[in-house]
Amino acid sequence: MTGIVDDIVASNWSFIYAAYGVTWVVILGYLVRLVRAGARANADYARLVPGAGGEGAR
Amino acid sequence: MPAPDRSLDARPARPPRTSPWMGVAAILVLAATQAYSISTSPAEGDMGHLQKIMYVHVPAAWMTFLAFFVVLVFSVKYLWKGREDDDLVAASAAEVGATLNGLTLVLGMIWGRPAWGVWWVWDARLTSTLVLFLIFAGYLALRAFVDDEQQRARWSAAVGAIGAINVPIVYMSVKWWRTLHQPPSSPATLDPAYTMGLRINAFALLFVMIFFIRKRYEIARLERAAEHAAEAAALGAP
Repeated sequence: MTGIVDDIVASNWSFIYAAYGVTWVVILGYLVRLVRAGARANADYARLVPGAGGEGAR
Repeated sequence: MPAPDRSLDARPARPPRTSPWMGVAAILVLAATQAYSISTSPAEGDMGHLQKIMYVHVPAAWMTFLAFFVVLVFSVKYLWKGREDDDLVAASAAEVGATLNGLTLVLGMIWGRPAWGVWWVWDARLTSTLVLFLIFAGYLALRAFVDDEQQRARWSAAVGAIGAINVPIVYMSVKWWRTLHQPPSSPATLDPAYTMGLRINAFALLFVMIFFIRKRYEIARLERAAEHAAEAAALGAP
């Protein structure tokens, strides 16, 4: 039993790195998606909505 | 259900902007809490340092539940009042919740492989969590494919409310059925050495989740306002 535990303890850091790596890829990936969607939505809003300062304001 | 208010005043106006600094702060706080937990928590008796995956897996699962609870509340509110804003909040929470749900599943697999020797087992907790993910993936697909605004909002509110009912089933699955997955982790069931790390990581991810839902809602309202303006322009409105 001790041997199994030792094996797990010895080899588990790659799984820990993978878990934290995946977490940050997902969080930062979603953040980038929001930033890009926000920039697109702001541009459309300014272009189409009267009074928002874009084409629609004319 | 009352007819949705389609008057000009009911159209979504530009929402107050969510400060980008809130996002920066949320990300920094999450990084700090993870660094603190990784560096201070001792190796656990059976799993060794593998226990550190708990600080990302468990908060991701909790925030998934919380996001889908928000979907439930605002879906029911939409079905009751017919307000467009409620539909947009529910949709924003569903997108963030589905993302966290997917993350929870992947983190569980990464933890399961060294702890159980397998990436996946069809036990009650894992299967019900996967079903929850598929329901909300379906919810997002539904929103992408239905063009009529009111129909989209009504159908997705129904799917969102029914889908969220699966949350207590996921939570209770480890108590109702014999599973490979351990019973729910909470500060009450943990060794005190790990309690603080779990608490602060949960609050940090909550902060991130609130920022994501607010920002997604803000974008959804901008998109909707632009859609209304485009429709009005096409109809020749002044």
